[in-house]
Amino acid sequence: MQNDGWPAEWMRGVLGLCVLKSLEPGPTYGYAIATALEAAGLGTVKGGTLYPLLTRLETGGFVTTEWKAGDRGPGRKYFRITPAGMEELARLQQSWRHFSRTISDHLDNNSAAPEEAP
Amino acid sequence: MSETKDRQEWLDQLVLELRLRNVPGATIGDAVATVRGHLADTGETPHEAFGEPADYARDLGLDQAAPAGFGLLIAVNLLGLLGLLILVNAAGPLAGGRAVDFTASDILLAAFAATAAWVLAARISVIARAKLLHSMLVGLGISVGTAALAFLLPDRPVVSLPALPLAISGTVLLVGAACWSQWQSSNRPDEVVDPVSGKAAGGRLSGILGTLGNWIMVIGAVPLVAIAVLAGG
Repeated sequence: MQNDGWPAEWMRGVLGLCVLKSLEPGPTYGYAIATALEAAGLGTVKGGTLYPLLTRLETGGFVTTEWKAGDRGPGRKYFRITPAGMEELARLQQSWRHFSRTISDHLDNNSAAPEEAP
Repeated sequence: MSETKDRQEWLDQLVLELRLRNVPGATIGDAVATVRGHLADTGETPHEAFGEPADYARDLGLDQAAPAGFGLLIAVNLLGLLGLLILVNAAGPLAGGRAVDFTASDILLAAFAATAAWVLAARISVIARAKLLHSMLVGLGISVGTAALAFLLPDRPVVSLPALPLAISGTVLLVGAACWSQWQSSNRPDEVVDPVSGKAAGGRLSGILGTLGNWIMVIGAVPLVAIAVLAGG
């Protein structure tokens, strides 16, 4: 699903948010999304992970799709974020920032260690 | 195995898995074209990019409930099969002006055919996923076993019935089932359609094979009846 750097559990939690973010500038296709995610440092996202996620986003009304014929070879499926997808992206971004701050605060707080049992 | 052949086999398996999940043909065409486009972009093999086709089909989450009338489809085809058996058994005696004698082995073979058709329909996903050779070996083994059992049963007639009404009944059941299947498939076409060209992925050949499939028992009945008439006339 991704490079060795990030635990799979973390990636599963944030991949939807990151895919929506990569669709924010405009319609794009699967391989371009995977390339953008890799360039952003998320590692390699395989088609077997990406397209089921995009299908769920489409089913949820967060993206729409459109086929464009390729110059050579097969056509490409373009994904466009919908207004509902933009709202979801904004909501998830805010939620993620709050979550990551909470986790960072917790990890940086040395007095949070539980007391040792007598 | 060549790259192209490997890719086509993977895609065929994906189509099969999505069909078994009752995914509509247009959606299957979209999924197949998406895989093709991605592989063209990345240069990966289907296994590298998507893993096993069965897992990918499951992960897509496109499953739908079995279409209404699936039980009726099985029942009608079983009736067609029964019609075929009745017609083939009645053809020879009809040509020879005799009544149709049913022996214990006839009844056993009819029961076996009906059970086999029912199991095929109920376990279609298991059978469709099995290797062709394995399915053929299992089918051959069961058929040989049943034939051996039928051979050992006494050859005395258990029941005698007039040939003409039986032949007519068998023909009506056989042709009626084929007509119903043809009407169903032309009424509810669900071909795998390429989303870019809008054309059916299987092309004209797929349509011809589909029509042949509806009439396969009628086509098969012709030589069987001819043999029965020659042997029994």
